[in-house]
Amino acid sequence: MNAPSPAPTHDAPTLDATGLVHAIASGATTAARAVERALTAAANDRFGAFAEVRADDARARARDLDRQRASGAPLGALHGVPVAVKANLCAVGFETNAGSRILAGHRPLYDATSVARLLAAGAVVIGTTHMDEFGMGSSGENSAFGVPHNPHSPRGVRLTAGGSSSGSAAAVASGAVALALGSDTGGSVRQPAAFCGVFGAKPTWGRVPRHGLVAFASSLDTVGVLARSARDLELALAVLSGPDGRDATALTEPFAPLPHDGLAGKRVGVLAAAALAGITPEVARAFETARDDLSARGATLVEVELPHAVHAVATYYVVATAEASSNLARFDGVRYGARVEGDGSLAGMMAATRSAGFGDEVLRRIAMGTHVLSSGFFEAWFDRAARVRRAIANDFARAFEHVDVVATPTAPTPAFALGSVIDPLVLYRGDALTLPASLAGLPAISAPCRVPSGALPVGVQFVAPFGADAAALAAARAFAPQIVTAVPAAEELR
Amino acid sequence: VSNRDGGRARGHGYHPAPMSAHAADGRSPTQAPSNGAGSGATHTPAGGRTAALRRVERLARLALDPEREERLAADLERVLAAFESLTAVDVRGLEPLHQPSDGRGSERDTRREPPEPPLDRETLLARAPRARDGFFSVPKTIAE
Repeated sequence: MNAPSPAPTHDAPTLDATGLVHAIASGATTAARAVERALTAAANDRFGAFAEVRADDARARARDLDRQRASGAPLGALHGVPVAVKANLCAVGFETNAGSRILAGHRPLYDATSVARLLAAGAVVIGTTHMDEFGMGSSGENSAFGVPHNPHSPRGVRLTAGGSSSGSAAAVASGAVALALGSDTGGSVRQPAAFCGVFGAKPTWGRVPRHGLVAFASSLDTVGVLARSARDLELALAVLSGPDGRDATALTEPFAPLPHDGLAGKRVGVLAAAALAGITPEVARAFETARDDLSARGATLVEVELPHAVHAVATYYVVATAEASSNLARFDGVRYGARVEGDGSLAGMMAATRSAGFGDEVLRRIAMGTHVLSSGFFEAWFDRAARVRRAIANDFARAFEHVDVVATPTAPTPAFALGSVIDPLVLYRGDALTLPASLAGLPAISAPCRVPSGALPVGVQFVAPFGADAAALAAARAFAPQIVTAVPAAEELR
Repeated sequence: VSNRDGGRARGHGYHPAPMSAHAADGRSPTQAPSNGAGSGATHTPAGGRTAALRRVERLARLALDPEREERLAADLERVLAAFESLTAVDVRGLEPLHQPSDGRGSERDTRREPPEPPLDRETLLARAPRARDGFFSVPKTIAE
């Protein structure tokens, strides 16, 4: 299937990053014009995606990039592309607050490796995006600073953009930027991508270095990408992947995209209906269409079993909270971030700082994680969950003996109204379909399904074996070769 | 594939008591082994879950107001109860999975690397809530 050719226009939000790079390279537009358009969209952003925009820095950098092109210097893979970065990735000049009061005002001294690689490839970071605090949430509502809403919300209703990369998903869906960085620990790139009708990549654990990512759960955290086309995810992952002297968990093997030979002859694993019992009728219908589309493109659908996936939610919320309780111990009011003096003792200062600085969901997870690691409970909870996690990974390994990728809906529901789901357990269960791949460390791509006109977006998730990001991308690209139409952030940009 | 055999799993030495509100000794998922043993309660008493949360607060350096404490204790109890299904999984023969790469392909060995200049002290201390004489400043920890 041929990739869409870039439209020969400079300002419509129809270009994806690949198209924009071609347009800038060919002189059809300039980095300055591309960045100006993104800044206008961000300044008029009616979805509340952006946490901070640094217009003057972005303009200066764009002029610099245009001068580089004029001088005949070789162009980077993302030369002139405006991008947004989730507020938990260190980016010099920006406030990296991870959506938390405890990091309000925190401006990092270095760039995250992922941000540095985007910049080295010629991207222009125009701003940071709102997120659930420390990545803990599925609706964007656990933020101390701002809650984006879904560009696909019907008139008069505010739907969630998903979470925790809520702002990055809304920024891409609105066309303000073609690419945004997110992070995905249990589904935080894929679920907002599905809710906002865009593409989202959660790479293999270790594929993209995490140096400079505010840690949540280290054995699960990944840096991911949101985009309006599958080819852009591929472009971005090629830039972001590779070993990093600052992250010993980064994979050394290079990322190599596969030839685009479509889905013909590919074997796509699907779960039995009973394993998808929790999905809503809209999602079920959209996934049925997706199955038909996969078959129509020549894929063979093969039923696979992931018998332990039913335990993924419990396993994840034990493992991830345990790791979070450990990672978040660093926020103690001593070296950076906020401080509350409390009773005047050292322990009192730390407790007062942490209790005032963390939001309710973060406290819930620290409490849970501390409990499952504590003496007397460790074996029953944490150690047991780590073993069930092994069983979940083994299930995938067995499935991949028979199929190239596994396809499931990305989320059991479409986007829900902000404020409508307040029970943490209900939100946790909403992660049921993204968590198995996270626990096993596998690459997973969410791509938009075809839905009836006027219906909310639904995503399909392609999961591939460990390290086989290219296989998941190839499946997503063949399944959905289009550039998603943006819902402009500012009415006047329509 | 059925793994619903919590009894067998218990026989293999995993601490059964805190896992279930219906465990033989009646401890709830949040009750510490020392404060609930033999109480015979089939559900967590309010004092029990608040005591369990206070233990967590001490360990995690938190000091919550009573209203928040009560809310969090109730949430923790409910979430753990919902996750008791983990007890039903047969984990015999399964090694814990702590890193999904299992060492595949990452740079685990020490490697030759040229040292880079570190960030300077002034710049780092400028981010600290309190600093004095080139050090991070904290409340006094040793009595005079």
